[in-house]
Amino acid sequence: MEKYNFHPASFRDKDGRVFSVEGQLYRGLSPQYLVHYEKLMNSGLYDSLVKSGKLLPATAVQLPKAAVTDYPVVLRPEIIPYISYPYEWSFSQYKDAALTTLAIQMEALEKGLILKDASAYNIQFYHHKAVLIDISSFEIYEQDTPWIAYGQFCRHFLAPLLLMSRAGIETHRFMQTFIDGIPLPLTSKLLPFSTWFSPFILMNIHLHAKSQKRYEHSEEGKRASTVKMPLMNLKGMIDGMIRFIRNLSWNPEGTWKNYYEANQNNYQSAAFLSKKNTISEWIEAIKPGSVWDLGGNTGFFSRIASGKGIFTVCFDIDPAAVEVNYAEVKKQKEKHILPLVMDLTQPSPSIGWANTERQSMTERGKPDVVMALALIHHLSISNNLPFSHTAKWFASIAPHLIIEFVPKTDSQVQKLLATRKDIFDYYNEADFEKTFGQYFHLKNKVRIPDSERTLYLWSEK
Amino acid sequence: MKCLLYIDPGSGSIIVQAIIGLAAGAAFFIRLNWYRLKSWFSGGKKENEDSESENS
Repeated sequence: MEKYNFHPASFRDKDGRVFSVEGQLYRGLSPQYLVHYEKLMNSGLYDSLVKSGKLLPATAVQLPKAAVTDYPVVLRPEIIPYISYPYEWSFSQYKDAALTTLAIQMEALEKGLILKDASAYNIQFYHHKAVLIDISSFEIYEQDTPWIAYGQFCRHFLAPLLLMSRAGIETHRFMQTFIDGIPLPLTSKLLPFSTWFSPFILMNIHLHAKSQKRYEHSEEGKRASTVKMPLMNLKGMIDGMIRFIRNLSWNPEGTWKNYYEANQNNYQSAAFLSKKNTISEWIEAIKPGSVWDLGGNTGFFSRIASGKGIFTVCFDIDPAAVEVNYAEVKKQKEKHILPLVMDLTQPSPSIGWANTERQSMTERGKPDVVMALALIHHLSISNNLPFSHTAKWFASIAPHLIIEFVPKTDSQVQKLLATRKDIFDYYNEADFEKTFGQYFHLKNKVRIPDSERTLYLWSEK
Repeated sequence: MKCLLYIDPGSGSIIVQAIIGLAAGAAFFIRLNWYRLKSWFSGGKKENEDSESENS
């Protein structure tokens, strides 16, 4: 048995390991790391990064127990309400995560420090910003040394961003398969031929991939450790990366316009406003600590909860919807809403070593309310899920469920049935109520005016 | 002084970044010193103007 209750993802870097004591997370700094930590604090880098919202604050605390004798300094970081992973970020979230990492690196170099790692998992979204959560990522910069984490940065940030932008947005899911970033040889193969004519992509991806292969396990490669990298060159490289990534874009065809138009048309209709009022009343009555909006699209209904200061995660399968949502979060500087890409038919699993390193979607939080608006027909009809399955899963997540039932006569359901045989005899309001009633108590039921849809409030049995 | 080097930097990655650094470093140097270079080419007039405005 280990002396500390270490976080399952905290095993790589011995300089700053994360453990919990009585449910509270701490980071213990090793004796050899202290000199670097002191430099971080004394150089003003910590204060400056915390002030600009790029670094998660962590305060030094005295733990009463003698249990932490191995760690001369113990830090208590601020708590991120919901941990997200790179394979759940929309394009702009990913881009901001990369730019935050590079901005931190640039500022660190100005103050005589450097990032010793560049893992995408060290970035989280907190209060509408991408923040670095790992304080032990800094070390004292030594004159003329190269950036040790350059290869990691390319695998964790550059490769996924380029693939999303140039090969297809769906490739963001690759990060779920490649836990230490997307291999550069694979990235090189998947990127279109035209990228060979971009000097930046040619060097950082294509030739980088070839160079990795060339010097792998070779004697010549050993000499690489003596390569000198003047500070000006290092800063130039980081500056070039910032400029390149800032200009990276992803433009889903026509989708933006569709979303904005949909927002303008639908969200003003009587049905929408009535739905909004009912949900608002129910949320106020429940007073949840946190809410998950499943299939939340661009977050219109999530904002009913987050607007009341309730932390809300808005999951949607469509990266474009999440992109629109995130743009709004940034524009309004919203602190209580986190948009994430999630395919509910296969939510993020537990991955990594012993399947405990990166937790599944549901292991990472326990909301008080789950909202499933205009979602059930997608799960039941597009994915053939019986009501017993959906009800059981929702009941396992939260004690309260706000769900909208969309009947077969609805035009949206008709669209789903247009190209397939209707094998869904059970898909009706009576069966829906009967099956969900086996898992929940029915608390309220409101017919949405000008529609055939019904809103239900269910609570745990 | 060095911390535990817990990730493999990769020889290929080090070599590539040294090459990128050569070009990027020169470009960065020029960008940082663009005004000084420009004034040098234009016979130092600009620099004088700048320093005057700084003094005032």
